[in-house]
Amino acid sequence: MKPLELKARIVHLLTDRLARMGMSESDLSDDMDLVRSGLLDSLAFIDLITALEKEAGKELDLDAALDRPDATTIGGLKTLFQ
Amino acid sequence: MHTYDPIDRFVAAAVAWPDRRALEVGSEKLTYTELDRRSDHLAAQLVEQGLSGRRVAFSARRDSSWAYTVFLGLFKAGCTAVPLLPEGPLKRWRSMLEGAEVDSILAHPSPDALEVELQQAGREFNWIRMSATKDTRPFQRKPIAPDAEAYVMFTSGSTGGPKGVAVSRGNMSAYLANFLPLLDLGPTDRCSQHFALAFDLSMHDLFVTWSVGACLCVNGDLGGLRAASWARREEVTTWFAAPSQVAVMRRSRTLAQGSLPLLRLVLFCGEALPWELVEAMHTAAPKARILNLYGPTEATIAVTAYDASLPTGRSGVVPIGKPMGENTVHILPFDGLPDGEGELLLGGPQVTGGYINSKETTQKAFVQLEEPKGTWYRTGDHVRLDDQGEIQFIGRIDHQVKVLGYRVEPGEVDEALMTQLRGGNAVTVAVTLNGVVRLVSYIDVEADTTALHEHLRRSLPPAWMPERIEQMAELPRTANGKWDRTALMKMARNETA
Repeated sequence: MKPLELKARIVHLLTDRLARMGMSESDLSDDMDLVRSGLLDSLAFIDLITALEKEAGKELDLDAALDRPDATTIGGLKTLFQ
Repeated sequence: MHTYDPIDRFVAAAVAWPDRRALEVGSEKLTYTELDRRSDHLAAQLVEQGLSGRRVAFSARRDSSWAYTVFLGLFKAGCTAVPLLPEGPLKRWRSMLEGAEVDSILAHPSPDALEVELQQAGREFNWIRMSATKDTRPFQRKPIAPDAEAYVMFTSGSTGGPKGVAVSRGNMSAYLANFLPLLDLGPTDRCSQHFALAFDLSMHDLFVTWSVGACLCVNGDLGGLRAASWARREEVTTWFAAPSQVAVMRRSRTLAQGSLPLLRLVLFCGEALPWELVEAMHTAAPKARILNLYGPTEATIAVTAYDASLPTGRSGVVPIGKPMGENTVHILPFDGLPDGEGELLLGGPQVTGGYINSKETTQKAFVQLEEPKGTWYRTGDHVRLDDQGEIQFIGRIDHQVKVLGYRVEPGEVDEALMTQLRGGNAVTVAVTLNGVVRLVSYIDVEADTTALHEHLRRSLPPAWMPERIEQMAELPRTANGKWDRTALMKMARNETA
């Protein structure tokens, strides 16, 4: 998945969440932390990763991936799904 | 050691093992002597300011040693700790401070945005600014009466906002006396600290660990995403968390076979525990004893326990077991239910005096019985005794739910929504998705749902937030005119799937 596509996929998957936070795509910067910002809780974040894995047809080594400090940012997800 | 008073135990551990590690949080590592001195210093200042016997609030952040030192300092000085959930929101902090009639707040040495907001808006409070630094002020500890209030913690209330439960020093000692023998921990243990400090399961973390001279290891990560690698790195031997945190670990595939080899004790509490999570934990930590604890804040941390160490191949939910130590239970029968089934009542030395801000609710929940004689706390939990004599949780007799370990009354969400609906109704129901409880709210008037979400965020903590707010022309009712929650739950499930 290309980085640009990935962001669009994330925005699509999080439509309801973004709406309830009164946020739009432009509020999602690469370094924004999806969990620390309160947009997602830990389970919703895992749901997001699982959905992205399914679409990318790729399974991550999550133990190692989640250990990256930027794993819960959009930029971090772009790196993980490159 | 004969005493079970939490501070007596901590001080005795500091005498026995002065140079052992007591606390590791972030990059800070404190020995028993260091933590003892720092909390003495704080306690001396609290006593000087005449705060013994008073309630003192603070934002209970887990990002440094500060809040941990504060608990010890307050308990040493005989103050009542009123820890506030760092996530706020400010409005809820306000209602708690008001409910607990708190006028003194300990100011964090490096306040976050929310605390700065409260400091600016709350000039009427007595802000206590004191250092928990390395300098030591001599402190002469005085014995604290067992009926003295140790902490006030808040639980969700279906009407009238959060309810403050006052837990005495004697209640805490009783918990330690009833549970330490079961847990069998010692000074070489390294115990996890996952629970929010504004909820009472964290009191187990702190005072069980410090009662035995072990090290408290704080996992500051959010919700278990990195919990497994953290536990390996920190060489944690004892694990205590809500089942939903382990569900996150399982779904994120971080509970591989033998991946947590050092764990020797795993404790669950706070939610119904599915057997499949026990199996997953057993696979990751094959040497660990696995115990399922159960208890509400109103009866101090936990009351019953069930040993689930041996995999049984069973499905469904793990029993909550039997009362530990001097705790007692009574099952109050319901009409039309078989023998051994009914509402669970708790008795014994851990039962607290009730809610500080609601006499009426206290009278309803804490009842006197002639047979069996005594004061009993009505849990609202529907249970039955299984054929082994173990208590099995079946469900709630009201609408209370657990969301990521937090006890939530959907009525509290409804109440917050209805202040914005100009006479409209709101009904919030819980649905389980991928093994996790989520809330969905239904309203029967037209409203800007983004504004409603915003209002909720300002009123309630994150776990209380509904996944969606749906508008309907009319909310369904049952034949006898009550809200048809079953129909709403079915709708919520279908719309979310």
